[in-house]
Amino acid sequence: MEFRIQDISDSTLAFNFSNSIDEEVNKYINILINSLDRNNLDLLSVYPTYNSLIITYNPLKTERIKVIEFIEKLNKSERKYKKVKEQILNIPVNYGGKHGEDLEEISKILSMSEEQIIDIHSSKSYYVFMIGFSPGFPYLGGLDKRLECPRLSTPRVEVPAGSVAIADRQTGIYPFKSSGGWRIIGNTDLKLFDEKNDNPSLINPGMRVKFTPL
Amino acid sequence: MKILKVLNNPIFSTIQDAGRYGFENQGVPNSGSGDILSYRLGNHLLGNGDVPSVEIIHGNLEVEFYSGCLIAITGSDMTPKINSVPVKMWESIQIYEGDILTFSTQKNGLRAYLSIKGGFKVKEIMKSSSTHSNFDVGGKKLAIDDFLYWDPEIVNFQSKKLNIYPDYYKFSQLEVSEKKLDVVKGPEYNNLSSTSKKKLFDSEFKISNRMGRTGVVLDGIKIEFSKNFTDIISDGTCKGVMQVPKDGKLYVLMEDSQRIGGYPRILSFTSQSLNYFSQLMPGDSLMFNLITIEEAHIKVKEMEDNFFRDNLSENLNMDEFILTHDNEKFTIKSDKNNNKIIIIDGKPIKLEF
Repeated sequence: MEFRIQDISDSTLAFNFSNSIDEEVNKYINILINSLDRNNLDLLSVYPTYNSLIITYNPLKTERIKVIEFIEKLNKSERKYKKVKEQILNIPVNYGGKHGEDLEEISKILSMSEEQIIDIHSSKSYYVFMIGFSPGFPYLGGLDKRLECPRLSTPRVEVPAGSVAIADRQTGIYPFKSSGGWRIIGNTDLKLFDEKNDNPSLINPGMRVKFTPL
Repeated sequence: MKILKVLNNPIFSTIQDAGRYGFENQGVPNSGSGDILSYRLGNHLLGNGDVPSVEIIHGNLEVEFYSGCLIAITGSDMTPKINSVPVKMWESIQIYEGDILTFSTQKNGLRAYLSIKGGFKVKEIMKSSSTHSNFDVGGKKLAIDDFLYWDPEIVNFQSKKLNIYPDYYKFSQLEVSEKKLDVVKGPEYNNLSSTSKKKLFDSEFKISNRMGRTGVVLDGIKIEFSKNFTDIISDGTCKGVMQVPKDGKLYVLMEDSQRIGGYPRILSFTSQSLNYFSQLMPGDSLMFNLITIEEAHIKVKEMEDNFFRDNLSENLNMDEFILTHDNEKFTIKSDKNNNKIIIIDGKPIKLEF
């Protein structure tokens, strides 16, 4: 796949594979990451964004050109990648009421019943493009167009941990209590991030998640 | 074993190491020491690797030691004193049981580092002992009655001092026109308006009060983009990157920042200049000096050579060193010929180092 090289800093490179948000591109980046041995070049960070593969290297240990050659080689050899079986993680959600404070208002904005909104939101699985914003926070793509509604005009100072929220064409889950401008429709009891685990985030890039109403 | 107790509530002192890498795909910020150069020099003095140290922001820390040990203080000058007597920075210092070490306010920079021979013993979370300032990841800021732990090290000690070290005092006294920090172009630099591109390098920027380990907002000219530029899709970021949100201000991402951001990334400090930037305080001004990535890499190698190659010399101020281990006291001192002698129960034993 074609890419362009961007220097984010003197020690971080972005290998950018597309100008738009594309599930196939993101899957390809995850396949590259999974087949990459980061010990090979003493790489510090290797992670996906929507459409880039990000690498942080130590310029004292690793030459920039070596990182670029490494990814170019990997990109050539991975031209025919195998489709990996997608893992679907089920997220039980208490929708509405005190668990989803904004559901009632969204129902008014969208002129749709709360039940319809819950049905649409929980009817399909969502692809996990990347994790960020806070530890374990998944950027989920592909929210149904019918549920598109703007962010809160004033962000909440405190969004409870486990909040399932929507904004524009995105949906996500807040693993930690934090501030946030997305509209809360429900809450999950699942512990999304446990720093004691070897793999602390429950949700990882490349997975799919599905919400199940309780 | 316990090595020290925190006697007050410092403004913002945390345990930091070289950072938490390898968990970016799970949304975990890197954290780690902001002025990585001073942090590493402190440990270099003590013959340590990148072990946990204390990062002191805004000064105001008081600790009491429970045992003799060897420490080093690097970074900003916060007038460190042991038992009310000022002590030197950038060299190893002997500590005796019961010593009280205090830091007052910062004079020439934001951050100081307290390192100990062998490193503080702090549980690793995701392969690092660094504290994150917002999420409950890897510990909390130090508070009154907190203890720090340590594994006693009685072998191979040697008191050292640095021949050269980053001169933050001199840097803080420079005229703004000379206070230029190196920057490299970011991915969206070319989307700036031609006026902003020009103004960026002959304007002064000032550290605002909105600053911390997550990021620093700079006050200065309003940054504008060319007319055809639209928003970017959220993409990779790292410490040192300068983003420009809708308000046209520069937001510098620091060590606790997220590794994904949705604003244009126009410039970035370099691995060398970020150490100096991390020492600036609210109200301090600076200017930018644009260099290429290749030049940045040459400078970081020069920095490494200058500070870490043949930069240590024997510290002759050292007289004796007392250590407590399993309730037994050892005294280690140098004789006239600078041989190290260990004294147990009053009987000297000569050591070969």
